[in-house]
Amino acid sequence: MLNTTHTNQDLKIGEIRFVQHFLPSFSAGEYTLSIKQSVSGTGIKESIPANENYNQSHQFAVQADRFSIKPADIVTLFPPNANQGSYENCLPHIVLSNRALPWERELVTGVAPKVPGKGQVDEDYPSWMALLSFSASDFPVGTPSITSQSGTIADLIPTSGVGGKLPTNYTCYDGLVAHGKLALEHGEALDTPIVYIDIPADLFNSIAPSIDDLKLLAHGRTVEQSKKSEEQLDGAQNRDYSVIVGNRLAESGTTSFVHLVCLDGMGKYLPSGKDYNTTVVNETVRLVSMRNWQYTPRKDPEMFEQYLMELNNKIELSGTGQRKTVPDGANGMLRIPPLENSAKDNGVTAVNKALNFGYTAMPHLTRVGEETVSWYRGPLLPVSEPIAINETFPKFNSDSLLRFNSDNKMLDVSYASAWELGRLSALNTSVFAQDLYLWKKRQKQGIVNDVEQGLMQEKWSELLPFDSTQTAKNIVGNVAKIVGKQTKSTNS
Amino acid sequence: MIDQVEKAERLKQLYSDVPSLKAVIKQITTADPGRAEAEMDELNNLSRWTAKWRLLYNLPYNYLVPDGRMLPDESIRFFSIDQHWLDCLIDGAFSIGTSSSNDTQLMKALEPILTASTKLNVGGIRTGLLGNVLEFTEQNPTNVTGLLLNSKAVKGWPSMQVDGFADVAKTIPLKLLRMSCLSPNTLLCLFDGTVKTVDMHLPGEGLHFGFDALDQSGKVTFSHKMRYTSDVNGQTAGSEIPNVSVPLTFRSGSKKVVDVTALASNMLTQLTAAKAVPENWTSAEFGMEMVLGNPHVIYTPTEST
Repeated sequence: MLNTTHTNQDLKIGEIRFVQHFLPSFSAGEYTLSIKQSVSGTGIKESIPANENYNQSHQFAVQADRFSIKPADIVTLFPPNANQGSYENCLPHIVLSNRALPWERELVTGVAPKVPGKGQVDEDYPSWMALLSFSASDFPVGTPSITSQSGTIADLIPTSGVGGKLPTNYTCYDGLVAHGKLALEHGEALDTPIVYIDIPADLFNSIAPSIDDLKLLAHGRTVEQSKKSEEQLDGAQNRDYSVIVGNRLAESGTTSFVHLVCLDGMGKYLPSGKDYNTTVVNETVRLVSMRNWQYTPRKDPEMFEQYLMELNNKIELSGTGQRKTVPDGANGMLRIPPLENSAKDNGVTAVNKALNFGYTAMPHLTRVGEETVSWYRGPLLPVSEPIAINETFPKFNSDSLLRFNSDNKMLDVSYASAWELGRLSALNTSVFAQDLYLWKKRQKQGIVNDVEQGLMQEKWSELLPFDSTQTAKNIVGNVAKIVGKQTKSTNS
Repeated sequence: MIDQVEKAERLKQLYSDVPSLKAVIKQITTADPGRAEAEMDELNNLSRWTAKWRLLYNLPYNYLVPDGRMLPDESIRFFSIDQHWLDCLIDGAFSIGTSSSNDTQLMKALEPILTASTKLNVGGIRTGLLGNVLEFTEQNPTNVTGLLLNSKAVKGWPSMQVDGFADVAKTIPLKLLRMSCLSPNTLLCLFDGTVKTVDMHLPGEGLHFGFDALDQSGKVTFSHKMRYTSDVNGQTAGSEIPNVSVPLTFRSGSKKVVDVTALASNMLTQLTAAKAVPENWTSAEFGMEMVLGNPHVIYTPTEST
């Protein structure tokens, strides 16, 4: 099921491929495209000066998220936000739908991905995004913990001259100012809103990953989609994702706060060396937090498999507080559980027989105004094999589908309700109603034309230019055959 | 001029006889290939609506589950679809705009056409959602079964996957015809065939990373079981290597921060020692090694009558 092929083979159903990275064709930034054409040679007309160069240049910018991330780009947070479970042994991770995002910027300014030699795989390239986990226990009681603060890009820029508001003794993205001038990217301004966090230097040094760590903490995935629920589908058989993994486990019973932070150009401030003990940051590090969430590891878990294992069970707590699961009596089929019966019966056996087949007793106001109770069953039968009923359609009213149950002397309105629901649904779906009406009308028109032509041919066949026997020969097969033909042509 | 009285007479005669009316429709739709193609498009547009109804799209939940006791909180319920119920539904939908007795005769001739086309479209609805060209299934699904799951797990893990099988040993996978949420906590799955076993699990991109914790009288240690990174020694990539694991290396300090670089180099050493040397050692292989086993929950409906 898991696969790390570096080639682009097809994935089998449900298969996952781990991918080293999806490098962007262009990393974010401004580009100038220059074209130079020179003309030379013999026999060129004099109107074109020899060895003249023709230059054309075009500027463009590649934009990429830097200080914010679109909510739609986030596919999964793990552990789920505000969830409690046995996550003590898990590293948090985030799945992004933008497959190249983690490699779109330079963690170390000026260091771009290397082009591998022939036949060699790429070198790992560090991601500019990281997951930092903070624990409530990181802060002595009484000191402020990490809080997300709303601000603007101005809060990231030193106070010197260009309108920044970053206090001194803070380490932040220093690429935002170059040569005493603002160096913001397209779409960014001093007042662009951001969310940032302030991290004390020693805490940053002890939890921030190194450049080498960041080469391993992000990877790509290609996942075959055919087993997804419709809400998750986007019209593709295979889907690429990028995944960023955190580097810190959480303590049981202590809430862990995870921030997806931007480390654009921050490579030089990350801890390095053996044991991560070479550190260079000021008193406080200010980072932009693009997404944050929290989870709490607990011994008594709220886990995916836990929920599913306890389905169809009633949870009972015994006197000593122990959990006990008792099956709920429906045997996993879609029906109302049978009623308890007594020795007197009072019709319970008959009712249970109906419930067993998925029936529900519903109040029924009959056409004559009488209030009664009738059996109703939806299209979902609590048996594994379908029932076969032969009935001819069309019906022209729902009453012809009412049934009488001789066992318990009640009406069965199931099929009549289905018919009425179909009618209401059709009327409610105006596109369908119109198309159906037009289709019927056109068919009717065709029949009338056919009759008219028949009459004309009978009366004036010798005057008409076409041969009626030839037309008859063209009539091949039946409509089922056209459908069959269509099937073949679509499959081939 | 055409004699209007005679025309009306002929139409009346034609409408009184469904088989010959059908023959006329066939004649009209087959005599002209261009016309036949336009007819098919029109018919397909109509039957995509009806096919969706046959897969229970756009139907009120109360009609499907009329009583809350059928699907209480934290339950999974299996069912098969009553095709006759759906025939009645489609018949009701087809009945609109019928006013004269001529219309009813025409309907008798036209409805089988729509019914046939609808059934051919049922299998293609989900295929279309996967971005593939809509293809008609060779056999239209006549035996559709499924499940309803009402659990907080649906909301908490929206990317959950449900595999249906026609046998208990999970060897015959069933085609998924529909899988969608009817409400945040309610998931509907429909399969082409009789479902005997379902396997519910988390998907590939939701696999999570972590370690196996060993609690020895309060002192917890972590380690990680290694996997094959490629198909070697008759093993498939991703399967566990028996008895090969690495201890978790933390950075100094008590903050449980993983020394990622050291962990990765320990993994490579272990793989080499286990004669499962990876072809490449990149973030992809590291990512795959870090995956913790994914829980699968398997249900087999038990039917009793």
